[in-house]
Amino acid sequence: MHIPDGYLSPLISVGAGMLTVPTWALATQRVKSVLNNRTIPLLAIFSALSFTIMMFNVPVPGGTTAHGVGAGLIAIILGPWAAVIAVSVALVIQALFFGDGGVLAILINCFNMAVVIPFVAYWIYRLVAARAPILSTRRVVAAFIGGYVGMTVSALLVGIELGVQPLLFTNASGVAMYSPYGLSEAIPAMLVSHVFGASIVEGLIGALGVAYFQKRQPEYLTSLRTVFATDDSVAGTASRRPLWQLALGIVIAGVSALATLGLVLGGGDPAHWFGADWSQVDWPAVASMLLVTAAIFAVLVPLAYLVLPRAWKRVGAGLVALAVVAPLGLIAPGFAYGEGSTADVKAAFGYIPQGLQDLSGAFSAPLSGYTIPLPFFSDANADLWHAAIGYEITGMLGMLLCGAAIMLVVRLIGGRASSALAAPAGAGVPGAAVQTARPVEDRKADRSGKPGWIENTLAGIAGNIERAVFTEQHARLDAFLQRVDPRAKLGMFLVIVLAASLTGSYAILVALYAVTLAAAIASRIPTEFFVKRVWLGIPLFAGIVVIPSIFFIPGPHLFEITIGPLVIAPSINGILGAILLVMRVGVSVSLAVLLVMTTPWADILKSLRAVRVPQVFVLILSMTYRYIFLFLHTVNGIFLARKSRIVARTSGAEQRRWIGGTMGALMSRSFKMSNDVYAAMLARGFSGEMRTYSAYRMATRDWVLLAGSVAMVVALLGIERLWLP
Amino acid sequence: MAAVTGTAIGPDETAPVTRQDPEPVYRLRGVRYAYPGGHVALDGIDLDIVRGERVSLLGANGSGKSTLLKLLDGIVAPSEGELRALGRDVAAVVAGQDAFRFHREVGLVFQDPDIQLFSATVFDDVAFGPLQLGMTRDDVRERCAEAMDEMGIAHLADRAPFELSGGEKKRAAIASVLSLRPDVILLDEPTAALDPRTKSVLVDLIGRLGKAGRTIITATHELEIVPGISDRVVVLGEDRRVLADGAPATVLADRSLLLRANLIHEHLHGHLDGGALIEHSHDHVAGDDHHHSSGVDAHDHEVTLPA
Repeated sequence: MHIPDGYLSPLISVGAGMLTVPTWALATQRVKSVLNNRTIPLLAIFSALSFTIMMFNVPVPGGTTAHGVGAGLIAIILGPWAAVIAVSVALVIQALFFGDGGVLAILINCFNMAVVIPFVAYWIYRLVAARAPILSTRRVVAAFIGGYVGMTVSALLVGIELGVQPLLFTNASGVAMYSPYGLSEAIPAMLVSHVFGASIVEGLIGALGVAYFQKRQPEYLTSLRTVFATDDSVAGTASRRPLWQLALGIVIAGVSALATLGLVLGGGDPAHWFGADWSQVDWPAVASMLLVTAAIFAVLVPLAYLVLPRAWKRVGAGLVALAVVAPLGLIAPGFAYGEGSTADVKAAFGYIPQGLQDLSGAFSAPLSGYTIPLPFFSDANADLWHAAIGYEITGMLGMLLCGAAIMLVVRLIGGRASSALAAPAGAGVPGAAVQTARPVEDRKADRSGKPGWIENTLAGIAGNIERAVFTEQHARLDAFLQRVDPRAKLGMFLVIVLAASLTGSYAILVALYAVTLAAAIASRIPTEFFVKRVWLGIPLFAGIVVIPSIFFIPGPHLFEITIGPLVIAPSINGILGAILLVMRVGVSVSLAVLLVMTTPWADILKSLRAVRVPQVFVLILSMTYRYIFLFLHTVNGIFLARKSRIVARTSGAEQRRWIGGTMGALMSRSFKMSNDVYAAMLARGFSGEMRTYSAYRMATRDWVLLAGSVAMVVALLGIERLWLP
Repeated sequence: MAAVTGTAIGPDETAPVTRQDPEPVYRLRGVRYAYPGGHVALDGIDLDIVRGERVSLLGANGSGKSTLLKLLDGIVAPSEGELRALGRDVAAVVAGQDAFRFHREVGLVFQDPDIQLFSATVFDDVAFGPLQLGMTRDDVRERCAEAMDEMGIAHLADRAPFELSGGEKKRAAIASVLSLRPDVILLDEPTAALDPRTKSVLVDLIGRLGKAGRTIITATHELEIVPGISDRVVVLGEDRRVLADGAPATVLADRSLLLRANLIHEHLHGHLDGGALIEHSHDHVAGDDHHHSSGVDAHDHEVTLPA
């Protein structure tokens, strides 16, 4: 869920700074008051850890893999304020050095992932764990829920941020300037892709991490203050709020919320709750149906549990329970949204749309309407509870049919299906595309012929290290941009990226790209590499992602192809918007790559001081960057060691447990390492304030370049405002 | 490698002259250290070290050598006992009193260079110490150039630590300590995991530092380098106390002592001599040659020392 540049208007992405920057300031203050001089080494190492966790490919129940952020776990262990800093630093490094997430978008990405997730996860963890003993399972569950909800809320937020773009930011001809998907597309896309993927991973990371610490070092599950200020070991006190109370509270809260919402939507009249006409309901019939359903439930569910084979007991009983309570929906009057027959539509709206008339008779289902075509069940005068039983039977039949179909498909396609799913999940969905959109380069296969999650993680790590070495080499050449002061380069970069984000004109974007390309050539960057590396990554995915939007954005159509009842009609506005987005993203990424390839990373970090980033942040960034490679190296070794020892297929649960153990071990090591580094810093005179050394001085040439860039940008934007349509 | 004349090694004329104390540089009486969990690392150490001595601290892994060095460096305080260094109480230094000056005068080279190289580039790490001292940019640059030349890593100044090999990292770590020109230099297992060339560079360096008047304490379990780097050997036993304290020649010749301290091992080995199997105990100590002159199977053993 790292948002690249180009998807959001700078007004939103940079504007989020109004929330993020004060949070950073507050977090720094809070953390320093507890950690004091240890702040820098501890946070640097945990940032490196967060970065490393973000690289893990975690197998999710269902066969795919996904990435987590680790913000929830770090919030639980170090407290939310420290997590804000640690995750922000990891994100900044990802954006600047690994092109993961845009540079202008750093502020909003940090808000979504480094502020929202830690706090939501932490509060939910505290709420659910509620003073349970440190070693209890309830804490593990609380950590899972915290991570899960935190990531989901964050995904919802991203959906809103993206969805709001076409509403607020269109250019003069009505073309969407940024992400073309509205709220009704972006929100469901983000939620679905996270609720079944990344949120689970985030929850798992939290749960596994807490479980590890419970076994090895429970004192870290108390507060940061306790770990670093005193030597007392803390035993958990007895739980003050039992679990059933909590569950009851949540249920009551949920029901009250729904009831209120229904009243509001129904205009305050309980008989019109949620806008439906409840006076039509035959309450005695409902009562007898409920009784019958309850009786069936009490008999059938335990029976299912006893009868089914062991592997299916729990799942099977659960599914049967679901089928048995399904008829409760029959109580509500009216028809389900979008599911009315022609008669229902006529009654509700007064007419039947032509398309509905033409097509609704096309197919006749055997168990139409979820009833069994026997008089006992589907007769118009049959009691409600007859219909309910028919509903349950058809439901169970349906479940069996679905299950059989899926098993057949899986058997036919075999292993290749899971590998296709392991690639960037759902590339056609806007939500997923804003995740890490780097295609997996190295497809080393495991024994069954498909690249496993271990190989993918290893490939990711190897790719990062290789990229780092490559860019450092280029940054040391003696060429045009390499000789410029890094602060001037940072300034030029920010100014031009801002221009690329603000303009709505293709001509200007082309001009900006031309300038970038020229600068790259003058800096001895291999042109072919520069073009391929930029365009075949994030912009390509951006292109794929916006293709669907072309077909449903309103406006005049380029052409219309009719295939039976289907009409394929791309809108001109949609196509223009798509091109604009891709160009914008491409220019932004090109600029970022150019900056990183012509400036040693240590210098980029130091130049952040020139844009008023606080000293302590820059120091943490420098140290984090340095330790990321140590972590990557270690994780590489751990994963390789596992790969060399696995001789049989392992279950998803075992794999997840192993990942949890690995992360926990890394965390323990992080604490120890930060203590050692702190000692090493003390031993060389560190006393809290760190002084740094900068070898660069701004020369005339640097000022000229900087001023020239600003002038060029102002001129171009001015031309756009005044002359271009 | 720069010539011996590098001023990084020589006595520091710009340092404030510490008054000539009759007190030794280090004075330990009954020093104990126990970890928070209860594990005892040192159990009553009595030791005096005078200025200019070159001491080797021997002991098997886990005998408390690293902990002792950290105590001597003033980054942890003893649980019990008296520890005075350079005329000051170390416990007070750890609590923050005058820590700055103390750390300028004592330098510790950690065993793991990754801990010591925490900055983004080698130059930044070497410059860290002088910068915290408050030196001017030019002075800092000069000091760094000296220290890096001395360790032969001037060409690595802009590299990030992950780009360096193990030997280069070690040299960088040492340079980062040398740039402060400390009077006392502590080294924790400096030759661990090093290639032969770097090892000899290191031994050479310690020799020169000693000749220039620095006090040097090296913790190691590699017996072969001990005569070259020290005039005095202190052995820590597995009971966490000083087992022996004397000249290298004396201590290293005491086989039973070395066995007790787990510094050498003894094994049975056998070979055929005229059809009969001869077994005898055999250990590897620095410089030991082993030579059978009787029987058909007369041969010499080449002693390869444990790594």
